[in-house]
Amino acid sequence: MSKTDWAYLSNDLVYGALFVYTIAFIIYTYETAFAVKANKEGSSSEIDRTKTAKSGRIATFVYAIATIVLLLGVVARGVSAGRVPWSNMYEFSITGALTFSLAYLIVGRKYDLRWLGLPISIAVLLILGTAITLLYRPTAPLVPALKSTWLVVHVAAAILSGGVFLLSNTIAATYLWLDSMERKGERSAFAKRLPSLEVLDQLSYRLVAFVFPLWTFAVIAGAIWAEAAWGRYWGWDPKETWAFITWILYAAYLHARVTAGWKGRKAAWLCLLAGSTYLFNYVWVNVWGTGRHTYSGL
Amino acid sequence: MEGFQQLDGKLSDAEKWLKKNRFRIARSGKTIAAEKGYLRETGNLVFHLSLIVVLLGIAGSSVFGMRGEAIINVGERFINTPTSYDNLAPGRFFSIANLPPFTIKANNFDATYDPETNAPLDYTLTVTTQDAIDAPLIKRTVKVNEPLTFGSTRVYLQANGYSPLVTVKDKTGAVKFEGPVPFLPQDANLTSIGAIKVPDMDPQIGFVGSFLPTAARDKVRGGFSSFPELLDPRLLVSVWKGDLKMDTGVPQSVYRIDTDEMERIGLWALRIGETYQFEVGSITFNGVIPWVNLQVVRDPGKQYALFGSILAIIGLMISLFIRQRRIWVREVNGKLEIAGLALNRLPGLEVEIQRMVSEMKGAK
Repeated sequence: MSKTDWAYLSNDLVYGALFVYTIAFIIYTYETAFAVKANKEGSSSEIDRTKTAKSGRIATFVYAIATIVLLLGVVARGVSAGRVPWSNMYEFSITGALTFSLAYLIVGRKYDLRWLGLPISIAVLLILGTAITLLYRPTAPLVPALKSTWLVVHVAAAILSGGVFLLSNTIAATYLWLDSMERKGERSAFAKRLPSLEVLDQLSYRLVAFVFPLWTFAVIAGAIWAEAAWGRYWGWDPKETWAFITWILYAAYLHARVTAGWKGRKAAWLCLLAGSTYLFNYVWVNVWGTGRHTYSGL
Repeated sequence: MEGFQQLDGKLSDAEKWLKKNRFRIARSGKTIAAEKGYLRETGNLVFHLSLIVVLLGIAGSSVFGMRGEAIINVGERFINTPTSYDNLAPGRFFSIANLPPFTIKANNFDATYDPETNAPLDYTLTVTTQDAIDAPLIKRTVKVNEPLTFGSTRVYLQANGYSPLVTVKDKTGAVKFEGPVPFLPQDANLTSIGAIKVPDMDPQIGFVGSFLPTAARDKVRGGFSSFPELLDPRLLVSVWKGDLKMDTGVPQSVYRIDTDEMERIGLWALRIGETYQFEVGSITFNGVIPWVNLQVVRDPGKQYALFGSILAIIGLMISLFIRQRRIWVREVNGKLEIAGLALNRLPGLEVEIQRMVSEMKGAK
């Protein structure tokens, strides 16, 4: 197969993944709606989990298939370019959606996360949709500054951290939503299926604690690479500055939890704030920023 | 408090178990306080101390280091002395006399570009270096991610452009200026601007120029370059006569001319080999050679910064993932009460207390 064939194959696979994710999304929606309906019919406000369990499992299975298709799409993109597929925003986005999905599926093996399926499939559809419609660029060779082994190390660590940060943020946001609902009174029928606040709080924290060293490593690997490519390891380039701000905020978050005993709402807000700086760095600095991390064509 | 348990048993059994499992123990009367996982504190300490190491490394670099840039035309030799630099920023305690005496001769520079996207594919500079005046000549290559290293000084390939080669003669045909003049790129296709100053002519003459490696023209932009390689090079000059103001002592840019008090006497586009005659002389465009911008950096603190950062990750991992926990045991009415506290809220303590209880029961 020629490089162009691989590029077309990759596009087809990414479109295919989008399609399968949409099916997963529809089943998750059905599952949610069905659960609520089941509740309205019953006199008790408890949910009959057995009724929704099957469609939830099917949705997650379809979601896993979509993720495999996306994985193949990302790999094909890499083959077509003859390098790791992480050199522009389209490639970051499809790889980011992949790591986010994988994080969800892997964490979901240990914790019951099916309740997260709906928001997560919406998030993935948004990321992939934006990537395909707005950010798409044909495969191109690397510019000289990106020709380095550090591309693999630095960017892999950054994308992986981003996927897990995003997952942790989704959970923190869910926490805040449920918390405000409980403060007003009772959880809604749908919300009753979600885990307790305690569990969400812990899960969000554990994800951050797990990925924070990796993020630290991503920043340091970036500095080592910058020393080789740009002649300085730290230059307050916009991307570097925002990566540092994200690092500081997550460090503050971990400190607040471990040392000062923060938990619950305060911690969730801090977690969201830190995560939003990562997103800001990704979107704003790439699209509108002027720094050495902006390579032509996003 | 986690894992609260009540059981029949003796305080000494609990103490034995805690000792066997290497808890630190403080016993007073009918209570035991035990703690394990001090490594977490160590990790915490290492993490914060290593941040200081990073800061010292950064400070060391800026105080004892230096940073400078120089544009050299291919074929020229760079000698590492203060006058060779276009700009030089030594640290507070860096003595310029200590610049290592290396030389770099730029032999060849190859830049290749993608014909479809115009994006650069590769920059390769081949050089001959000498560590000192009498040292052997070494041939080396420099790329964007592969700088040259001279001890603690590194030399980076940072930018490139073109220097048109021109000859300027006066009316009598005497050569008043000859040589390459570096022009500054303005866009990715290396549309470049520059100035040629000839103060030795009477009246003084200045050329405000643009250089286009691949000439193109449209109504909005006028002349511009449509590709970064030399496919159809063109030198556009406007000729100005009057006072170049080079004798005022005020430093001025070599790439621009202040034409406020000058008069424009001509405008022309030259291909390689062509000559333009104006009222007091002529200019000939002989050819083009590439220039490269070398960035010379001495950064003595960077190893410390790196060492500190690696230490920081290790310390961080230890402080995040080592479980530090306390277990208290007390005797109340002949029964033992056990409870614990996970200091960094990592899971596992309840299981551990469960195990403690069952092992103490088993031991009986």
